[in-house]
Parts: sequence; C-alpha cells; structure tokens
Amino acid sequence: MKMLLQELPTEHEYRADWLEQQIVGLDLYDLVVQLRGIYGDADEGCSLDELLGKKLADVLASGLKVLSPSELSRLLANPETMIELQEQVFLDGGEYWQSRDLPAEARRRTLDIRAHVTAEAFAQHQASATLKPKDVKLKRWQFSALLTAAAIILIFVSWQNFLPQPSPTWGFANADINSSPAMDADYMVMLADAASDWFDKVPTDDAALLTRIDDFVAGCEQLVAADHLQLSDPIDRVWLRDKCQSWANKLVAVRGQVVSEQIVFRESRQQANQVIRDLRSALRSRADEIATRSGRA
Amino acid sequence: MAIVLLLPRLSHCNVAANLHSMENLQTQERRAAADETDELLFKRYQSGDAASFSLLYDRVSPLLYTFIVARVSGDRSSADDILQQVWQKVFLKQHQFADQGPRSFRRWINTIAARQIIDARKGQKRHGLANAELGELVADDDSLSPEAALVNQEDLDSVRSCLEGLGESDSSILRMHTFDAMSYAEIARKLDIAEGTVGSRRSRAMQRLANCMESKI
Repeated sequence: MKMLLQELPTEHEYRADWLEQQIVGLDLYDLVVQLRGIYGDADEGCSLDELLGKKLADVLASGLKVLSPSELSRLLANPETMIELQEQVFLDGGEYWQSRDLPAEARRRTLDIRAHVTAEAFAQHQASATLKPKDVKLKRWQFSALLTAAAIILIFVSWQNFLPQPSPTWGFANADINSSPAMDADYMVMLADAASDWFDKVPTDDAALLTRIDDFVAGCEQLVAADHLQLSDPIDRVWLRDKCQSWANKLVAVRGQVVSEQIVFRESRQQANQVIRDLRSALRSRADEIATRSGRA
Repeated sequence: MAIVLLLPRLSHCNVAANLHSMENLQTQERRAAADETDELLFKRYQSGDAASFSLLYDRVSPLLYTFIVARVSGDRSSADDILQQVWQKVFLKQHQFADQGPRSFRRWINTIAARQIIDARKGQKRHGLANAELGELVADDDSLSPEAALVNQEDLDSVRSCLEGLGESDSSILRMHTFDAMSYAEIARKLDIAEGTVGSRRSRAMQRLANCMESKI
C-alpha cells in the first residue's frame, strides 16, 4: 500500500485539487484506510449529506474548492464519506467533474474490457433482433453458437492477458531513472532523453504500436507514482506527475483509436510520435525554467 | 480447439463483419452523439443503433470502474471482472430499464454495480468458509451490504500498528496538519517549537509510516 498521505498538500487550494484527483482515482481506498487509521473512529452515522449539507450540490457542480479549510478537514476526518462522494460524482457530477482527467490505468483497463463487452453487446443485439416465434428453435441454435463463439474469443483474449508480460525497461520505465543522482534541471533533461527511447524502435503495424504505447504508458504510470526526490521544489514534482498523467491519457486515447480502427495506422503512429515530441519538449522547457530559477542559466 | 472447428464459420464471419460495421458507424456518429444523454444513447442501442453503445461505454465505464475499485479494497482484477459482469447484466436486463429522466441510466447501472459488488463479496466470503459453514451464509448478511465494511479491518490494523511506531508528539503533528487544517506555523505555536521543526518532523513521520506500510505488503 502506497503512503498517499505523504503527498497531501499543505495549502488549502492544492489540497482540494489533490483530493479531487484521489476521488476520481484508483487509490481512493488506500487513502481512506490511511485516514481512518490515523484519525481513529469516525462519528457514528456521519453521512455525506450530514457533513456537507447544502454545499453538496455546489461540490458536485464546482468541485471541492468551494469548501472551507475546516469543511475539507471534516471530510478527511470522515474518509468513508469520500467513497460516498465518489458515487455521487458518478451519478450527479457536473461538467467540472466530467472534465477531470481520469487515471490512464482506468482508461486502459476499461478499454481492454470493452472489446469483450462490445462482442457481447452485439451478440445480444443480434439475438433480440433476429429471434422470431416461428423459427425460434433454429435461431436459438444460432444464438447459442454466436454466444459460444463470443465466449471462446473472450476466453482466448483473457488467456492472452493472463500470460506474463515482460516489464518494459526503456523510456520512463528504465530502472535507472528512479535511482538517478541527477537533480532538478538535470533530472528533467534525463527524463526528456529517456522519452527519446520511443524513437529507437519504429512500429510497423498496429500490434507493434499498441505494445509500444503500452510500454511507454507503463513508464508514465511509474513516474506518476514516483517520489521524484531529485526535484527540490514540490511544485515541480506536482507538475511532473500532472503532465505524466496527461501524456499517458493522450497515448491511451491514441491506443483507443487504434483498437477501434478509427484511424489508419500511419496516422495513429504520427499522433503517438507527436505526443512524445510534445512531452519531450515540455520536459526540456521545464528544465530550462528550473535552471533559470536556480540562477544557472 | 475442436469446439472452435465445430462452430459454424458463418457465425464467426458475421460477428467480425458486423463488429467492423459497428465500429464504422461509431466513427461517423461519434461526434454527433457526443452531446446526447446516456439515456438516449442506451435507447438508440436498444433500437438497433449498436454504434451508440461504444460511446456510452466509454463515457460511463472509467468512472464506474474507479467506484468499483474503491469498493473491492483496491483490487483491480476483481474490479475488471465486476465491470464486465455489470455490462453483461445491462444487456440481459435491458428491457427493465425505465427512462425516468436525466441520469436515470447511471442510477440503474449503479444499482447493478452495487449488486455485483455484493455478489463478489459473497463469493469471497464463500471461498473463505469451510463447506459446513456455507449454509450459514445468508443473503441479508449486513457485512455484505454496499455501505458496510468499506474498509478492510486487516488493512486498518496495518496502518494503526505502523502509527504506534511513531511517538505521540509526531502522531499529533500528523493529526493537526491533516484533520485540523492547521498550518505549520499554527502547529509550531501550539507545540512551542520552531516552524521548520514541524515540517521536518511531519516529513520524517510520514516517511517512517511509508516504510512501515511497505514492509507490510
């Protein structure tokens, strides 16, 4: 279990933003356990409604920044209410919440499941559209065959997913990054150089491109989860994690287009290449900024 | 493999061709449908517009997935299974969906998800019970409700035992900073110590907690 509370920002405005990120993130359970463990038992029966009252509607419309520091603290002291809030965001969250970046891992996992679900959606759809009373026996047979085929495809795909996949060792997934002694601007430059690994191997078909994207996104996820103690300024660490999340999301979006055959291979490869070029350039610009700040430029 | 060979080839071809045309349709209609409500997309899927399904799935699933993950103690692979089962139920029970205005699709799928989470918990509990105890597992078991047992006692005990390793003073700094919305300066005044000391003691305490938690994985 990762100690998420270590990252809890001190300033109220950053704290609200960070908590929102957790609420739409995949580590909310870990955070709730840690908060509950440190705070002790919550007030009996303190629900989200009781805690936020009329402000709940504002939170659903505009996010947690509408809460005062003490209201936010009460939320932290009653962490299970954050799981309630997560459900409310899913049910009634406004445009503000819908536009928040969701974790790349959630997008990737749901995208993988979509292939199975879509086959089944179509099987169900076909079955309900073609079943007629007079030839129901024959159609049932066809329907069963279709479902069996879908099940076999599903088992095959699942089996492939369960095969051990070697972890990538290039790009941001390079093990040397985490233990690198490079500091601040040098660290950013090192990350930009690591991103250039993308261009070491040119994918020649969709399957190779998907593998390449998956490997790179795995590296991004490692960066999102890393401490980045090589960056002295916490603002740079937050910037890096936010950017990594956003780059990973962009690559996952390209991946989605490849999977659903929305664009031709060459175009998808160009899009992925452009994401890498942009992120490399952002890392180098940030390195320059850090150097300027520390008076090295 | 033998089963695959026995299957009618036509069925395979139909599935592939229709899936392909569904994806083409999806591309054409994706933009137009971007502003449609979940309810309308689902109705379109029901009335034969299979392309609307992917858009609805992409819109609803990622956040629904995070909701499921939080309710299965962060276990991604259980959440994968549950999400897939939820959509299977959506197809099977699609005739039961009643459009009762905005967000009614989300409420409906949320109810299905809650049910699936309970079923998964029952499955886990059943897995952990001896055969003789199986009969005692009843449907109205309170510990299986969606609201109950959000936090696993074992996980909680791990955090608490790590917390015990910190001194009372460091624990109180963590609590004041996290739950009382107190700045380092306010904590410093209250404890009569230097402001910088508050920051360093908090960082050190967090690091010790993190090390302890990692050692318990």
